[in-house]
Amino acid sequence: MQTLSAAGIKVYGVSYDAVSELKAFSDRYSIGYDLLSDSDSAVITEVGILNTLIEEDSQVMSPAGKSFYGLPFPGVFVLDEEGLVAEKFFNRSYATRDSAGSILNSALGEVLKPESTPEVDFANEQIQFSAFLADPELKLEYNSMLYVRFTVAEGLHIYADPLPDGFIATTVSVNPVEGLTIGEPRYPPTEMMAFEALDVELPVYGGAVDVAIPITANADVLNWTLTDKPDSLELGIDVRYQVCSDVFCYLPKLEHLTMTVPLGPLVR
Amino acid sequence: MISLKSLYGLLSAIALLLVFASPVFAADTGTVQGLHEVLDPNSRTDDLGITVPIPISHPGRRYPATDDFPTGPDLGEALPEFSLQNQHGEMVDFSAHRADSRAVVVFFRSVVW
Repeated sequence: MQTLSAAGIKVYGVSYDAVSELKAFSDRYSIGYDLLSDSDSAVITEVGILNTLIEEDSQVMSPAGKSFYGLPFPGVFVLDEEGLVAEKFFNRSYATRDSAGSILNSALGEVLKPESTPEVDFANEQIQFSAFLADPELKLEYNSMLYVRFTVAEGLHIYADPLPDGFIATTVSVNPVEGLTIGEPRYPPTEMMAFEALDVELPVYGGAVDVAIPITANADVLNWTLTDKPDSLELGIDVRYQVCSDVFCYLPKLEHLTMTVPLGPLVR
Repeated sequence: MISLKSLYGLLSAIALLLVFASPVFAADTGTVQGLHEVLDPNSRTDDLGITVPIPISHPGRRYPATDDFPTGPDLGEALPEFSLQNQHGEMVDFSAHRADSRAVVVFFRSVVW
């Protein structure tokens, strides 16, 4: 939260709870931002996210005596300076949500490495890369992100697909782990670099770039029906790359990183 | 060569099929299908493997069966104008309060259940 307010980003929560209910919650958890009471769900309906799967006359009540009708399909909007939607985070199940780190990076427009997040580094004279999580720990069905940040020394570069035969593209792959849903790596946009000696233009990365891999802890391991839940999982990350200058290339390399990912409980 | 008669037969068969199949097609477009309509409504485990002692058909657990559900304004569009009371009882006009800052707006289900 401090990072968001320091960056001048305002946070709002909207729900169909009454003002008194929001006040009690806000006091209990010392919430510094506005929790807006949309008690007749008019705004939820106007935004267009009313949960239409729940019948209006349903007799079933929550333990606190509230009807479930009026609930939204829960989600987050990140707005830019003009109030236009820059990014949306909506998951079809309310139990799946996007982690604080994911939303923070989206709102800031850049990837922040939090202080207490698990991180593994590799460095040599030509290149340095570090793998880190967007969040300090993974919780059940919280969509987080694993980043591999490459920093290439000046005058050198690494390649990206598509490439002719014989060139090695930079690839990051994560070995499957039971209990984690690992998505496809997202590679940043490349620059085209001209190689006069070879009379060709190739897509390269130079300087600092981030490869993002979606990662979520799933119910295979974080399952309340299991008595022996682990505190953490081991993640194996393979990084393949080749560093070149504009006249010669170093040997292509394959580095293997191992990261310990802490698993956290849900707040009840 | 296909005779005109058998071609006619084929076309009318297709037309009949479309007429009888149209309720099925109608169900695919427009309305959101709930997970409780796809899984066994008494099931306690959803397709994510999350098990809770409340059946999927319970109103509190209803959520879409696919990623095709309404999620409000698209990227590049604006939220509607609105004014709501915050937890301190103050009326907040959202666009005036946001002014020129970037914002994160979270629509959540409830703080009380």
